[in-house]
Amino acid sequence: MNTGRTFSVKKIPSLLSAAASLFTLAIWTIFPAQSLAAHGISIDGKLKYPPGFEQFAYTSAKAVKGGDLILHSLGSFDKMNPYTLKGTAPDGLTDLVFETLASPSLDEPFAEYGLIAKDIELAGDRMSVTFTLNEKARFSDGAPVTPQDVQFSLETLKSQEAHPFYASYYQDISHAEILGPSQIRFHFARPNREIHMIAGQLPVLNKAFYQKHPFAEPDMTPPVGSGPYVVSDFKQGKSITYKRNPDYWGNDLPSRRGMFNFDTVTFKFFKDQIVAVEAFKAGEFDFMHVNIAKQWARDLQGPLFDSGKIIKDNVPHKNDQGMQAFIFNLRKPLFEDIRVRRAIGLAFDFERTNKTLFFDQYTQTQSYFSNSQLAATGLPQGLELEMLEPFRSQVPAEVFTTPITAVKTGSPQELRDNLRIAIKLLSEAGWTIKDGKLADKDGKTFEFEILLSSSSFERVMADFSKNLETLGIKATYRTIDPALYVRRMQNFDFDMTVEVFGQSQSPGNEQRDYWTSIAADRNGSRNTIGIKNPVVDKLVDRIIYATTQEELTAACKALDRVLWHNYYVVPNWYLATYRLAFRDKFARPETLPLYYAPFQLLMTWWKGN
Amino acid sequence: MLSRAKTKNTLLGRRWTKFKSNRRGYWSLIFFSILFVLSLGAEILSNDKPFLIIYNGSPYFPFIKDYAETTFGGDFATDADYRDPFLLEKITTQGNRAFFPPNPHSYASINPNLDVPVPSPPTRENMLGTDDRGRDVLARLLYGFRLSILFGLLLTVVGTLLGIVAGAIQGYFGGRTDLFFQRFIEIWSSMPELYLLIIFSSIFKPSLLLLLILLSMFGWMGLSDYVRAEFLKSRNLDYVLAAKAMGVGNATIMFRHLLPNGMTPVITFLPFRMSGAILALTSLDFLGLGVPPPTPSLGELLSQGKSNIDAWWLSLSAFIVLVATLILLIFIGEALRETFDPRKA
Repeated sequence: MNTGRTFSVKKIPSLLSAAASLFTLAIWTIFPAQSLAAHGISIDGKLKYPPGFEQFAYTSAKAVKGGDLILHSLGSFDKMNPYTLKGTAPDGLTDLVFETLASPSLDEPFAEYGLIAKDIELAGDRMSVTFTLNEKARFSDGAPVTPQDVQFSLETLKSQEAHPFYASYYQDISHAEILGPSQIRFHFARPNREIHMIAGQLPVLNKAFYQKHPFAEPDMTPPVGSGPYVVSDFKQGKSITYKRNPDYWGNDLPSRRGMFNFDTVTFKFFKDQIVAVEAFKAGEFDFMHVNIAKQWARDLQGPLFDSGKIIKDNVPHKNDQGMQAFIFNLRKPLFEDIRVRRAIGLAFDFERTNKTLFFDQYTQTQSYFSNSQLAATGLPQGLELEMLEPFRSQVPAEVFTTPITAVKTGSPQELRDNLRIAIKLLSEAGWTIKDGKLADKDGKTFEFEILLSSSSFERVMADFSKNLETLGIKATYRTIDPALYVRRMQNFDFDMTVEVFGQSQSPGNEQRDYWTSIAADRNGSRNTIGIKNPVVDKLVDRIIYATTQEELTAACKALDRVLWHNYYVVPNWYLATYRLAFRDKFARPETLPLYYAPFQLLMTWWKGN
Repeated sequence: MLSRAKTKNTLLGRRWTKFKSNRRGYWSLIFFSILFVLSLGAEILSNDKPFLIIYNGSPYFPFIKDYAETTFGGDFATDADYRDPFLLEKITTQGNRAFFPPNPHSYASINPNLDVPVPSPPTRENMLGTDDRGRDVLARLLYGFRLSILFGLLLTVVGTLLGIVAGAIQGYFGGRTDLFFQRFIEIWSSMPELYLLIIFSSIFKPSLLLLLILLSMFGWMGLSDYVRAEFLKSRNLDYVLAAKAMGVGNATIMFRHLLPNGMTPVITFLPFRMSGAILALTSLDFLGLGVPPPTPSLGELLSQGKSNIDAWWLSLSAFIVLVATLILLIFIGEALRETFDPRKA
């Protein structure tokens, strides 16, 4: 039930799924670099925080420890190990109980600073990275964190016992070599631009604990981690309470200072989002991230909000919002013609949809890299133009002549104007209206089905299909069972559907899966659209093999333009803020992070007066 | 006078008098019939197409014939949307006139003049407000009520016929036939109906026909038990044996001689079966397994009410219509049962 944006939320542990969507695998061309021991690492070699920094800028020195925090979660839980496939682990485990070798900073695109590792050294040939562990690091049972634990973690997560996601995520880390009582080296299988960053994200598991409690067994024994909290109490499937570990070793670490301030963090589990909202208003929990526009506008109001007992805040973020769109399946002959695709796009009245369905809360998407620096603006210039120049004859002329602009509507008159253009485009493409229906010269009528995985999109489609009807196109929409939906998407068995192409701050290898010809023919790939365009293939290569940030940005912008002007999708909308509602009991740091999830932000707050 | 006295003396006449004497049931029947007949004319009461348009001096009947927008000076050669403000202006100004039904909305038409987020509260234009995609609630209730009743009727008829045939065969032939049929019913009734519906609704495109078939497949079993019992009871009575001895065929004995005596449970169950059928359709729609969009349905309206708690006009109106329908049917059923009760003859 996510009206605004649909993300398929798989229960991959939250930290790593965040990491997976933010940072993705990319193969990097080798270039010489000095081997350096450092307090942090980043993708482009630049670090915002110098050695010995006090704390992250988005945390506060004024934060005090104490107080209780109650949150909610949807669903249930039946295991305490978030790293296996079977079952569901409760929220909070990965962030509160387990810790990684290095911790990301939330105000840089892709940088990590030491956590369990106090020192990170990337080899000159970029084929290995050496971590020196902090000698103070302790598990919650008092045992020190050793290189053996780190090695065990890597081997376990790469094994069949763990969620298959990890095996592919850590694929390029071939093995770990213990160098001394506090040093461990990860060897890489092949050159990869991001692999040392990914190594830093490895959660460190307690070898002794998992020798006693088999890793793959579904088990409700509270795990022993090195994180700031321990599981203190839980009712299976109903609630879980984490207590701040009074002996936590990392309180004074720069990457931890000012964070994790609450004495207890409790998650209460609800089965239904609508019920949860009512429970929130009744005082059952303290904080809520609202992802349904209607709830934000209509359900979250009343005396509690007027008197300031509950605060509603739209908190801006800089996360790349990618592209959410109604996508055409180009494998269908119906959508082969670019003019047909453009005409259908003109029938979507975003402004009306936004006003009547979304309370004017969303922004119209104008790029495949929404809300980010990588979005193309104006006309192509400089390096970007250079990259596009060789393809001048193979791409629509608009790439060079027209800035990317979304279809503008806003009034019935403007919609009518758009539909007039659409009719003209359709007739150029050979479609004419016969007996009130759009048909080609053989009399075949224009009909297609929009496949939906969530019924919340039906209300959007009702309006869209009505506009298409005006053009003589019969578009039906249908919500199907999620399992069936996944199978049909894997076989590309659809005409049109709603798809989200998530993007990270640092696009890389995954672009090959999104847009290229090879992926179009591989069942299960993310190139659901079925794009087979040699220009796109080459531009994707430019992204993957970019050697500098400038080159990457230019390549992304060039790709953005080519994709946009081929009208492969009917772009939707995005939200550049988090809608947060919370009780008036918190104090917050003055500075916001840039690239973050709501829970990460919450962990920098503390109890107010 | 004569004919009246005659009807009074037939069995049917006596029963009708008895039914009438139950005032609650009688008035429920009248009220229900009025509602049903009204809803049959839903297209006349609530429609986004005008009865009549006088455009440039000549009459048009959009009700009967589809006109393209270009007919009225519009842009598109497709069917005209008469509520579109652009077209509405063309057909209502400069001496042109359009005559709309009392409620100028159809069940599927989205109000294009809506300037507020949906579901929007009741206004002069949408008397019961709009649902979560801007369609008129009153129109959807009217059409949804009609669909529910028709579906209920059809499902009841099909289920009853199947039940009678199955029960008659079992009861009349008895013995081995009865034994095997009874075992088959046991197996058949233990099939998880809801899961089958979920599975089928993902394999096939959901439609009313599919729902009718699926629900009929399982709906006959309750009734067949009663018919079977009646037939078992009567199969060895003298008049049946006499008919057999005279060489009357099985089918004739079953349906001419035995069935009238076994009709009491069938008829008394009818209204309850119908309310059950309406409820089944409503709950399936509520779960999203029912009719495809944009078919008007009470269950869909209820589920919208559930996800829009603040929009009281959704849940309240659907609730009232549903409760009123079911109560009327139950009152009618009660009166029927009394009518057919031999102890009160």
